[in-house]
Amino acid sequence: MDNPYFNVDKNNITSKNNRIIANLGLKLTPFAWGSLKTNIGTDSYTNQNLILRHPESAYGVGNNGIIDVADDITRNLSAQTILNLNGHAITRSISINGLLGQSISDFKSTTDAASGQDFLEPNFVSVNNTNLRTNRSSIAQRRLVSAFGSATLSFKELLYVTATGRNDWTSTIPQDKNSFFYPSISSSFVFSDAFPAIGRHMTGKLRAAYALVGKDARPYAYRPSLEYKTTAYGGYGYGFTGPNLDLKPEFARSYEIGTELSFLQDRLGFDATFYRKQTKDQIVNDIRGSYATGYILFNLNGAETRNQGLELTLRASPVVGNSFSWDFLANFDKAHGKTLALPHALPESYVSDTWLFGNVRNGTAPGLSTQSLTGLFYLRNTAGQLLIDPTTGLPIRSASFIDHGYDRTPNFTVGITNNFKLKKLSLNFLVDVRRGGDVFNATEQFLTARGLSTRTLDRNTPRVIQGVLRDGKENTATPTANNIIVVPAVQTSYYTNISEELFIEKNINWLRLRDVTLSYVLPRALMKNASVFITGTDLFLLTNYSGLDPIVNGNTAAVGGSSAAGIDYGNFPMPRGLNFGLRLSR
Amino acid sequence: MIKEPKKMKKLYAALVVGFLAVPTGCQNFLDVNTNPNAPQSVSANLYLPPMLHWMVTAPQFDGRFVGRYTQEWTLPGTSLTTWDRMGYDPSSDNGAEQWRDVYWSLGQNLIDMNTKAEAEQRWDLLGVGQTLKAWGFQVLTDLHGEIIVKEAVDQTRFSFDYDTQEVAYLEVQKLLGSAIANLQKTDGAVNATYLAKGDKIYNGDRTKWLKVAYGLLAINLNHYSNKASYKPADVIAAVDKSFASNADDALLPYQATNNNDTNFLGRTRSNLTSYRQTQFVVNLMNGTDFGGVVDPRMSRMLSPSPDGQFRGLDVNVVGFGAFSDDQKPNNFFGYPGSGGLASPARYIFDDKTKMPLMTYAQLQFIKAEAAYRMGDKVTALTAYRNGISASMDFVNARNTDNSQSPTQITASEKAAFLASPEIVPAAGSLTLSQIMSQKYLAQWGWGHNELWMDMRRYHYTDIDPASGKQVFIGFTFPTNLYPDNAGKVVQRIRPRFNSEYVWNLPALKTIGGDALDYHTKPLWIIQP
Repeated sequence: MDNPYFNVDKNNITSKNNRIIANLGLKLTPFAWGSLKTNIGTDSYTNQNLILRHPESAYGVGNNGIIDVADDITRNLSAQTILNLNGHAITRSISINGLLGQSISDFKSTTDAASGQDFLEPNFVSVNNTNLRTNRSSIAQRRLVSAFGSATLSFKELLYVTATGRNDWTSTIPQDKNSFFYPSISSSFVFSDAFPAIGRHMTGKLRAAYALVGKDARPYAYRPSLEYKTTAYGGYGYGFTGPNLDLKPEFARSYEIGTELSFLQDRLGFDATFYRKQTKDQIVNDIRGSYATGYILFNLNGAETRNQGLELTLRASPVVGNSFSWDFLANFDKAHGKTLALPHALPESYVSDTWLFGNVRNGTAPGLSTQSLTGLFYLRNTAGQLLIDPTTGLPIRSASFIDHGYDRTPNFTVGITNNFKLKKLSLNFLVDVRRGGDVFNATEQFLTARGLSTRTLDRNTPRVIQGVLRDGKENTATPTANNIIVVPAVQTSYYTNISEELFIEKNINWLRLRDVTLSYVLPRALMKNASVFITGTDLFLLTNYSGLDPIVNGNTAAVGGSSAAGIDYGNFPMPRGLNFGLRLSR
Repeated sequence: MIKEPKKMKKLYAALVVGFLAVPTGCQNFLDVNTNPNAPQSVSANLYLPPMLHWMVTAPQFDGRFVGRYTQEWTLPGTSLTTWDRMGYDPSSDNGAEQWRDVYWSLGQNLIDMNTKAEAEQRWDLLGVGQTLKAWGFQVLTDLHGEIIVKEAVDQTRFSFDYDTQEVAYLEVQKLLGSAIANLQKTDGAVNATYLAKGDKIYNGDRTKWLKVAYGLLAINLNHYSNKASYKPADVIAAVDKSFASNADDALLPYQATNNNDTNFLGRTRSNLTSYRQTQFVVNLMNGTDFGGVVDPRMSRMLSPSPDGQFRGLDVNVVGFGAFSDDQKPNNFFGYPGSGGLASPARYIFDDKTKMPLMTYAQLQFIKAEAAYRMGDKVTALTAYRNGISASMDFVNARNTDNSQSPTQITASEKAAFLASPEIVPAAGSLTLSQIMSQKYLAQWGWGHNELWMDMRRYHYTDIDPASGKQVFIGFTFPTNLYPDNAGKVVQRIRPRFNSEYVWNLPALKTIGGDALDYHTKPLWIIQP
């Protein structure tokens, strides 16, 4: 491990981004009943990335320094034309408006990358300074053409119904299936206006919506391509991913119902939304199959997942006054996802980039949470007792990845914001509460396997692990209780071959102060419309988690799937921050 | 107010036409999903280099594990390793690189290459392709027993039935028959220059590949030795059409320009740095097992300890046991501990070694065994002597591939060794122990697939009735077998975990592959 100061100084990861976003919009109003709007835009950027591992760093020493550079040139173009049809009264109480539109997008990214090893001059940072160089370029392009329309009917400004339809044509799906249509319908009803008897006490609205959304694949997903091999004498061979000419768009069907209520001249408000979203033919990227297919990975349709949740918001202004006021906002969020099916009834789907430590990964299977964990957990007899190896006295782990009831999804989360104002002073803070959800403390297991955790202090104490011997009688009425004494200090596999399940902490809760801001409006005499503030972020955390901070993601969300959230392997906690500032406005 | 609806109608009409035009007009615009980063089809000979690389290299990946079953080497540590105890690593792909090789590295690439070669009448390339395919099924069934043959490489399936080992053996013979026929052809587009672009083993020489096909056939047929259908004369006939001298050896020279084209066993890749030779192999060479005659190959193949003595580790002893630092055998590169980076290595453990797939020496021992079994001891003795002589030349050649450190075996050393009756007896006194133990040495360190088949064919510890000695002199089983073995010795490697145990389990269960002791189930080929 490197000295942190050396690390900061010599091992660099940088990214330089130059970006131009330009849009040109034209609006024509040739008719009284509508208008035509065209937008053409470009979002173009270059991104220069550098990863440097100094020749004397722990990571780089084996290769005498490693430098990776990658220049990504991205050019995204899009054009959209919308014909707006102004409101038109059909009868005295019913009116209609709508739009028709069309868009074309082209996303293209070209990356040129080079990697060098074996530095000549240890401190000179350039690929030119290396003995061993490899390079690679890659292009990714996706095009999408869409046509869409929407119409809204309103009845006396009490009831609104909006219907939309959209057809997409994509470049990333085989041509016979690359056109797909998806509609939606949503409605709202302001019942407090419809029934004045209610409207006297409150305002209220009911919402309901149904939508179908189609989605295409990533580029080059359905046909295998060759790649240059760096094995002896070069040549070409197929990559990991096999063909799937039947690839089709995936669809998500969702509905939600909700209400917005407010009372006491909007001093008290309550919103509630329940939603359910079910995907069909979901594309699972990089799912494995038997090597006998001729490939290792596939991009397949066929997963089905269901997400549903409840969101509640309570707003209140308990004190309203010129010199003192108090606003309160609470959000409650409960969401859960479940895997219903996997393509070809394959037993498990996981993202390999979440297999960060030992044998635990974000595997999911039909019937499990989309945020489950699978691993090599301990084997148990039918009575639930641990099976013990009769030769070593240690528990036996499963030989394949199995489920053990883990779920990283919290039962619910609550965010509470309070805002106090006392004349020119205001105090605002957000408290974040989470209840439930499992976290894998891989850092602790890493330390345990190396004797660096305090839980190994009793390593010289002989012990017998409670369980039954796997001697053929483990599932009978009279299993043999384990009586083999182990001393971890002598039998190091006690720690090195320990199952991750002992480090997955269940039902992790937290209460954290996300941020708190104190601000003061400067006297007008001093400056107009100006305030000074001090903000503290993540100032305290109360949790039942034994590691540093349970809000971890062992990787980034970009790895896809349910990512490595809740896998803590050498992760740093959220940093405490303090910001001071001056805010000016016109 | 009256005109507007008309205008609208026109506009709608225009829009409808516009939308209808989208599907036809924009298909060209949308046709950008051909991967621009690599071709989807290439000239047939460009598929060949990676496949030849893996044919020679994948056995070395698995050799780390098979070599512990056969006690060529051992991996000392703080406890005995699973493989040293004839076990395996659960939920790991260790020992299944050739599984990956046959189905993926070869897999669809080989099918595409052969299809193109056949369409273009490139019979030489097609013959090489069929030889490759035969090689793949041969090594895979020898490692794993039942494998997927008939349903192999089919992307429309997601479950694959296993075929019996007999099916695999017959398929190999069929493929080699086709390969031999094609490699004999000179018509069509047969072209050594074209083949040479992908073939750096023989530089496009089809006659050498023909010999490889016959050599593989000899290996295949000789594995029937425990069966009534064994035909030693056919084995000898195949060997005679195969390699005629070391000049025919199938060798892949590693270039060592990057990690992947560097010898897997070399110090730079550091895959073997912690391994050490066993006492078993040292005893075969230091005179213990051969009447006091010290094998001149010992000091050129094996590694001395820092004190200059040649020692090996006991596979039943944890770590280096009671050896002092001076007595611990050096690593295979010839240096204590993990030394030897960027220094001259020994034998086949150099970064730029020419790694063999099959050698003349190996085939001569096969001929010797077949002749011995049919009672032709004169032929057996000649082949046996040729095998040892060729093996000594091979050791010398490997130690010059990249200026390795050991000295050459001199002509007089070689002559003295071959003149020793303990090594080369009179024809009437030749024993299977001598043939198989000397074959073991000729294959030590690289020929794990065939070496392990030899040991399993003789049930590791069979007694040669003629000599009263074990066929593999001095071999003993690990005393602390892996727990799941239930006291039995290893007979096969379980199919690749992340291919079969995870994604093809129902088919695997039908052949009993989920049994805890599946790896101790004897192969069909070694049974009577």
